[in-house]
Amino acid sequence: MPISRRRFVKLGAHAAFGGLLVYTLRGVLPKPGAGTADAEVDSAYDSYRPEDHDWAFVIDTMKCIGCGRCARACKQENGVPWEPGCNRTWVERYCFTADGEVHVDSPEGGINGFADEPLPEAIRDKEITKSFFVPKLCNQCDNTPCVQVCPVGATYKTADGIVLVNRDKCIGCRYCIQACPYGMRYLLPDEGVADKCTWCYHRITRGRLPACVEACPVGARKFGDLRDPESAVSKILAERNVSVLKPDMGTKPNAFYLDLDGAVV
Amino acid sequence: MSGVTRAALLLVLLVTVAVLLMQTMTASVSVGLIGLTQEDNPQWWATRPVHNESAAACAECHEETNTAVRASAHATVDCESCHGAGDEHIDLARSGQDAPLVLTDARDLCVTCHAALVSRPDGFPQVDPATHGAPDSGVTSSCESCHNAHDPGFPPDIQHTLGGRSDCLACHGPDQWEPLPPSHADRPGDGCLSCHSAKEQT
Repeated sequence: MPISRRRFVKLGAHAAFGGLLVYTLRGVLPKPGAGTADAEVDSAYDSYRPEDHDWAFVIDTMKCIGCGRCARACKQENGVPWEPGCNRTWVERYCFTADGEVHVDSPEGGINGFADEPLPEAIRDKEITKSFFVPKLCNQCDNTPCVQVCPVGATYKTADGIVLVNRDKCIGCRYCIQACPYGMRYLLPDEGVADKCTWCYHRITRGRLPACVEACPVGARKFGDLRDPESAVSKILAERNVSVLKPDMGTKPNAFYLDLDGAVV
Repeated sequence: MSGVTRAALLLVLLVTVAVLLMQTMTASVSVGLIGLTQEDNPQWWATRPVHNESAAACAECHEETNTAVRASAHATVDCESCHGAGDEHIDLARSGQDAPLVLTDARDLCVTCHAALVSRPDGFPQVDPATHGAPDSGVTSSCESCHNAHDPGFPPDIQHTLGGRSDCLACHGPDQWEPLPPSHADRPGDGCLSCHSAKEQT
């Protein structure tokens, strides 16, 4: 049957309108799977408003005793593989010797502490002039090299300032691992996707502390909300002299260090 | 208007509608597919399970122990710092099942924090594990035989279950944790207990 031009255009317009209607409704209707997961868990996140928080971390290098319970708790909490090289957080030991050298080590990221090797083998016979521990974790930079280089937009910064990786999108190209000046990222060996410290996003969004903060026996790690002037981190930033790692990289970290030695990188 | 012009206008209209349709219907769908939107991902991260519970959760069953720890020199040490993530143990216990929680060698755990290291802050209590409380010092190899990890005290409140001068000197010798006062330097080597009684003798 021949179709008139008028009828053809009319049909087309109806089809277009119908399509748009279906598309609009799709966004309004509940998503498949939503609400079927752990209801309690979902409701905790539903009442969480990322834009109301500005998380910050403070590390007190003069308090750290190098027990490594933070790094161990992190692996348990976040399912980080136990093999070396897979660390979301770790502890470094800095040793300064009388001959002016700086020796840094972190056996297995410090998960077993440093008591098995009271001094690194290489400097065992040297005179130690100064030594301390430095815990490391993601700085959740405001100016993020890792996010900028990702070719598929798999990594991003949330409204509350945490840099996350979308594992469904990550293609495992390792660009971000190269880009991070702090060596904070690694590739999950089985999944083949980039992983990193999230400041325990699943804990902080439930009003808990990151696992490493809770595990620290001496209060060397402090965490809190800069939007809350009464939080421990707000007070420290207001009253004390803090520094960040590699400030000249311009990354604007949100992890701050108290009494940081100038040699720490 | 000629037929050609009308046909051209119609074509432009159709193409415009088609482009707009494709943009609205396909673009945002495919952008979501290849990863340029992140709508659901923060929620995925936020809903990961918690493994390290808290001292409050431990106190549901271990209230007495927790109260002692919180008032002790280990007040800032979270239960799971030593015992490890407690979620499995707590889930089992809450459902009324047997929930063993085996702590690895406590001596290894103690030295993780308390072995003397040049890198630790001055003033943090540290001992040399090779000599402090080692078998040849006359005491024992288990920290717990003298120290109570749940209420260590500072200086450590030693459970005085020991008898005899040589054992006393393991802690109160000249270079030890709490040396004898100078007035005791010339006292006989086997007579501590003739004047002192141990706080708690077995």
